[in-house]
Amino acid sequence: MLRIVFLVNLFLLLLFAGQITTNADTLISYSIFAVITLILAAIILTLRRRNKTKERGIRTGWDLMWNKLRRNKSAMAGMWVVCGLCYVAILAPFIVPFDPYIMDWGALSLGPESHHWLGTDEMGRDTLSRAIYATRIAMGIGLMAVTLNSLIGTSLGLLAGYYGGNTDNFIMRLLEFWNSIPFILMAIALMAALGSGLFNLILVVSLTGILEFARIIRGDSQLLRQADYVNAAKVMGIPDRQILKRHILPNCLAPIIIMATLRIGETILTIAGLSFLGLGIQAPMPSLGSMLANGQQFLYENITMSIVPGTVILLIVLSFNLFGDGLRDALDSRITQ
Amino acid sequence: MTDQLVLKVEDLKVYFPVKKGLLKRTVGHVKAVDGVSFEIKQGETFGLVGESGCGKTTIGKAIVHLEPAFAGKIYYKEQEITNLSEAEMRPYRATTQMIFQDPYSSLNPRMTVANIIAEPIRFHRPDADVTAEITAYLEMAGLRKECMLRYPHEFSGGQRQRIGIARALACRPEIIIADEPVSALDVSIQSQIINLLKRLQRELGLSYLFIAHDLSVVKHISDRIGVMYLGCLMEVATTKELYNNPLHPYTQALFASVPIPDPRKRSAKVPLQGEIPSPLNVPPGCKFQTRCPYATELCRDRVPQLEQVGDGHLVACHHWNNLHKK
Amino acid sequence: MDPDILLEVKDLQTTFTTEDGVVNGCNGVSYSLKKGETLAVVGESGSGKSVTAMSILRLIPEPPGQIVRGQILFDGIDLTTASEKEMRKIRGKEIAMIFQEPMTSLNPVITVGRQIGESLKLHEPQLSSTKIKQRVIELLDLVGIPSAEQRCNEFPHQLSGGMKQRVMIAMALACSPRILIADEPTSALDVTIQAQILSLIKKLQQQLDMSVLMITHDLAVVAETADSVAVMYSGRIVEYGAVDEIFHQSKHPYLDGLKKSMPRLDIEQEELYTIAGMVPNPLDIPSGCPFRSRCPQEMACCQNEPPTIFFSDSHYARCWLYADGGHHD
Repeated sequence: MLRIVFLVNLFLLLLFAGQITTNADTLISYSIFAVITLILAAIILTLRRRNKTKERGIRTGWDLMWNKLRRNKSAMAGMWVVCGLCYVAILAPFIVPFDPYIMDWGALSLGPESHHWLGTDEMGRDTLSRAIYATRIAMGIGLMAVTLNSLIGTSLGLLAGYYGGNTDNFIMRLLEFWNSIPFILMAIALMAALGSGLFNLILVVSLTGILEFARIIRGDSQLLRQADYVNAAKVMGIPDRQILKRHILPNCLAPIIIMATLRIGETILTIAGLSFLGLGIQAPMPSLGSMLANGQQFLYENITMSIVPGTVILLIVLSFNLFGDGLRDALDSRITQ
Repeated sequence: MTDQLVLKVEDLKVYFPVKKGLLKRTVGHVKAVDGVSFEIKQGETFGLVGESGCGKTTIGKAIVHLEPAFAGKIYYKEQEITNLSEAEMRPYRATTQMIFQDPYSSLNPRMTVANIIAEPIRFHRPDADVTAEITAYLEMAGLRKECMLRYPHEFSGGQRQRIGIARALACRPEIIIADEPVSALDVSIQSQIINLLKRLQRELGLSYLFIAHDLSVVKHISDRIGVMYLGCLMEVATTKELYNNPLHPYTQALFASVPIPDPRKRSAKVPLQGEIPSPLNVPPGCKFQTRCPYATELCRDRVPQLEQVGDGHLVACHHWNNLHKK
Repeated sequence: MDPDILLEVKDLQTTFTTEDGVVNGCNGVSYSLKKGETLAVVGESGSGKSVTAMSILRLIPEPPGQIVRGQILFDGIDLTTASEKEMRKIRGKEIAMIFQEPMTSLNPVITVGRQIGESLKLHEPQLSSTKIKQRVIELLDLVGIPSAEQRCNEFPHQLSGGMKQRVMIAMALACSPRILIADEPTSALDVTIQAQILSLIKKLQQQLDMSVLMITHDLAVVAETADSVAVMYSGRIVEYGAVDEIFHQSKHPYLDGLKKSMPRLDIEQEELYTIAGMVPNPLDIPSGCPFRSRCPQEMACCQNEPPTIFFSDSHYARCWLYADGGHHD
């Protein structure tokens, strides 16, 4: 299975090699894709080596999780859609039929037709190309925001759970205070203060939902803190920093991964919502939210303008949620076993 | 065994605050360990027995600073280590190690056996030849070196306990606190671990603080035994003396309660009625008076102190002399 | 069938289907429980001692578990084929069970009195509520709980471990069952409390004329309570006999090793005997005698299924060592 994906990747790499231009977009995409292909190759190699050396019947927690996940059909469907969306996002510059920024005054507000598969918008831009670019931007921002979000949430949760007492009180009350500010209000205020821009958007979005993240990790590290192997490490004199790094964090990985997966969908939805309100990604950069807002004005003339971004949002959020839920079930059952 | 003391505990008290109300005010203390003194010589095994909740595990944890001591003193050789900070404690950390009861929670499931054992080696002796040492310690604990790259869940309970022992040995300790090391294991595996611990003691001159509820196991491995009840030592004596001549009524009852694996030695009577009082609500006077068949007015009024009654035989009972004569 | 025999397990095989293959929980287990007798099933973890007991009450989760072979005869009914409705009548009323961990078997939000009352009501719906209350107090008295009337209204967490086990016993006895299955009833308790509970079970057994199936890993508990003993290893009975035969004329090398490896209070021991190796992986049990890889007296013929050798009417072992002595089955 993995090998087929790897071969497809190689094929795509060769295919698109000719299309690299000095354009930064294509360069970045191509290098990211190349790195992913390399990682895939490494995974295949390690798996093969492990299969050779390991005795039969011995399985790691990850194996068990994968077996559980594989039998969960909706989670697998979610996973494949997520993978597909990732491909689309990464390879966007190579697969778009038209430049999403170029306006074609001869083809204004078209419905689906043979040339523009999903029609064009009121300025003659190809909707399919814009949707693909919007997906790329949404996924990119979503991923970055969630990474930042999980980094902050995890470290705060780890500290609060491991040290407990006043540290715990301080961190958790602070987060609860932060969380009590209505999100939209805070987003408007922050965007107004910082100015709109991709980086500020990522920052604003990543600051929400830290509390949920921290709470879960805090609960886990509170439990792990009492585990005998943590006690053993303390008795050996291992400093707290290393205990956190080596003994607590690796055992919190499962919930972190689940939370992050679920949050990507949510974050993309949030960004779309902000863009819909005009607070998020600014024109002319294509974004799912602003495309939707735009389409709303032409609901009677050209409904594809709304349907396309709406469907993409639905697809992204649904697939990430299905996949995340499946992951949670798979990991939870491993824990209870 | 030599006469050099390696560990001395003096009047150790470990209290846990009981917090109540909105402001979490401390309204009282659970006296988990209430004034315990004992000492361990080099190469000796001191056994601590008692029923659940008697504070035996808490003593072990207090010695290695997993629980703070409320009062009292802990000495490693001549050095007092009771309230040392983590940094001051560092040179003594390797000297006292712990083996835990639950072989499943005592090993990090995300680390290979090699990494588990390498952790203390890298920390305490950064210049050591790590691979060679791991192999040596695995062998000492009776494991093959092929185990190195595996994860804990691939092992059975007994093997995991051996990995835990190898990890403790990797610190090159002088004292090992073994907290119920065999009570989670099957009988046929128990004896393997007990023999391993005895062999290591002979070969490395280790001292053990052996904490268990199972009298037969403690009797088998210990040189001296302390019997605990509700946070206090009731009787301390050499194993032989304690077994042949138990003076405290609680010790006597404890021995009599242990079922003997021989149907011809069945006894019909129940040696001890009643339950252990809650540690939140400890009876005044002698802590054992609520269950003691010989309790008198004196026992309800005054707390008996540990007194020397023979060579190294201490007992905390007002009436030991009268009971003894009977 | 011997009229004294209350429950007979014949050639029982219960399997569990796992991702790695089919595991035998117990394989070809046969024993019989006489009226008023205590039969102890003793074995280490994974020996299948609990699986047989759970099979009797059909408490094996299906799937993954399945009783594939054998019969369990109780009162002329084969429990392996009985309907769920028939089983409900038998569970609790005819055959009751107590477990190792009393806390998880009691509902934490319902008072002790109501929990006992409920099982009474289930099997004897004609009882009035005052009658039930009265009976609950009687039961609590019977199992030695002081000030029973007051304890009725307490919740499980207000009781100590020993008291909870007493409550469990009271619940099990609510409908005066004919058989009590005790699955490691004292393993979670302290020694002084263990002695109390064991003597309580013995006393109640005589008083109520029950048969007890005692499942335990502790040979000392067996010696203290049992009349007959079945020793299990890797899902099979390796030796079976009256308690005195098991402790003083044991035949199977596994039982011998187990007895020698126990630290004992009543005897001076230098070095403990150890049984080498580990319990075999249930997925990969060696052919023939399951103990042969750890056995100090392994022979070539041990690769074949060991014969059942009888040493007396009640005493047998399954081992090639005695293939020439004794008489074949």
